Amino acid sequence: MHIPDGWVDLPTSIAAAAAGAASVGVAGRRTAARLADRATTLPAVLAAYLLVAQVPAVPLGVGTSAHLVGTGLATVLVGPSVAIVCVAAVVVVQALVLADGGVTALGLNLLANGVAPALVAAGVLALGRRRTTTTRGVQVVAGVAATLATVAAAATTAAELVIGGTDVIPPGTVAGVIGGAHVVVAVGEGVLTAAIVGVIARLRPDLLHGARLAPTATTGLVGR
Amino acid sequence: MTGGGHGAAIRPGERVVGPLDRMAPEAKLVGLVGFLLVSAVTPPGRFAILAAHAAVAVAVAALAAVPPRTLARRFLLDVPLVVLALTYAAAGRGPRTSVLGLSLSVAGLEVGSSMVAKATIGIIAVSALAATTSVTETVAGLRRLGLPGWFTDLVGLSARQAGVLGDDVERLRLAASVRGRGRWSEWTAVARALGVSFIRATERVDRLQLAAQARGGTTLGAIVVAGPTIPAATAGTWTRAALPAATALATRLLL
Repeated sequence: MHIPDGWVDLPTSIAAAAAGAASVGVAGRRTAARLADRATTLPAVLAAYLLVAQVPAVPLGVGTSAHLVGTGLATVLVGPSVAIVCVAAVVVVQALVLADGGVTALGLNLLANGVAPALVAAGVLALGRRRTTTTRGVQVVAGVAATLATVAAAATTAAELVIGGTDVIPPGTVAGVIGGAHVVVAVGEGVLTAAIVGVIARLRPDLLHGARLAPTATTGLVGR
Repeated sequence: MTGGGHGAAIRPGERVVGPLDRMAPEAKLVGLVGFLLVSAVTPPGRFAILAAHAAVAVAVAALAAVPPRTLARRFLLDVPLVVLALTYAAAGRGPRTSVLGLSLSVAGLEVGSSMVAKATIGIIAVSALAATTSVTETVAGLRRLGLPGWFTDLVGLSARQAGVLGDDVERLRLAASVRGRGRWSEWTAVARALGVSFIRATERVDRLQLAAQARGGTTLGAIVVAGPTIPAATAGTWTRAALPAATALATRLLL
């Protein structure tokens, strides 16, 4: 979910914008250092991929549909720094071109959909990837990473709405509604991410940088 | 932005050239943010002010010739926000009132409906920008406003690539869906399409890189071309771009 304009108060929005800009600055420097001459093309194409992947795909009824948030998947594929840079481009295009998510809420949406889920997914990957080398294992780790990344995104969104929102309803209710709505989304995200990673692992295992399927294959996206 | 298909959602549609189309993008961006900020800080429950802000946004969107269908599609995507706002009314604190037989919190109702109003005003206002500003112009505007070049290059290139990848994913998904059978076929089709599309995306990175090398450099060079086709802001432009925000501020002070 993207926070629209006017839902979170100005101080919180401005603080989030500052934190978001600082995060993208750090992630951008790390991206430039790691990708060298690919520092624009790779994140740009991946951001385009995320924009496309977020278009609703499988109808689930009642006006919602399964689609990918994608930050978890991006972290699995290229690591958290590049993922954060990608999501920054994604939220800017969504806010200014697609009218999806508030322009004054850009920082909030970047923290919730980019920074928090990428860091959580990176944590899961760091814990999980040493314990597995099989395709199935990598799929499970990627799926868990994407699920928890979505939970982190929902939790951050709820926290932002509580901190910068109104006190007319108890914080627990906001957290409950946002959390409840995202349980299905989080599981769907995990399943879809695991399946996508499975396809990539089967066809091009060398591209799985973050999950490190084959420790000998050093020619991942980032290593080239 | 017109069109309803998957890739089409990210591609600029045919444009009717009006006064807003010819305005410098940086002025439009600042004017938009100013208007949204004034709208955002309106206290909940001040519906006369919010109605005036909505009127300003609708007027600008009319001037921008935003297709009603595009607006309708964007409103539909925001149904979950309305549901969230309704929980504010249902679970809000304080005195309660009865609406259509439901017991709702007065304060929650005010806050929830104000939130939906502001979100709607935001969608209309951004749609006015999007309908009159190509992605290249928006990105050039961001660059002129001082955003780092590496980031505006990234935004511009990703918006362009999204059109290409969107068509690709749609074709792959359709093909996989036609071949698929069984309960999970839709999910499998989506996963396969996205998996294959990612692999193709990495190949696009190689192609872009190759093109850059062919032009004689290791980097892409300027992606955002702020050429003479994109007008620069004059004092008059800034004044006109500030009109929606100024009007919104005036209604806030008067109503």
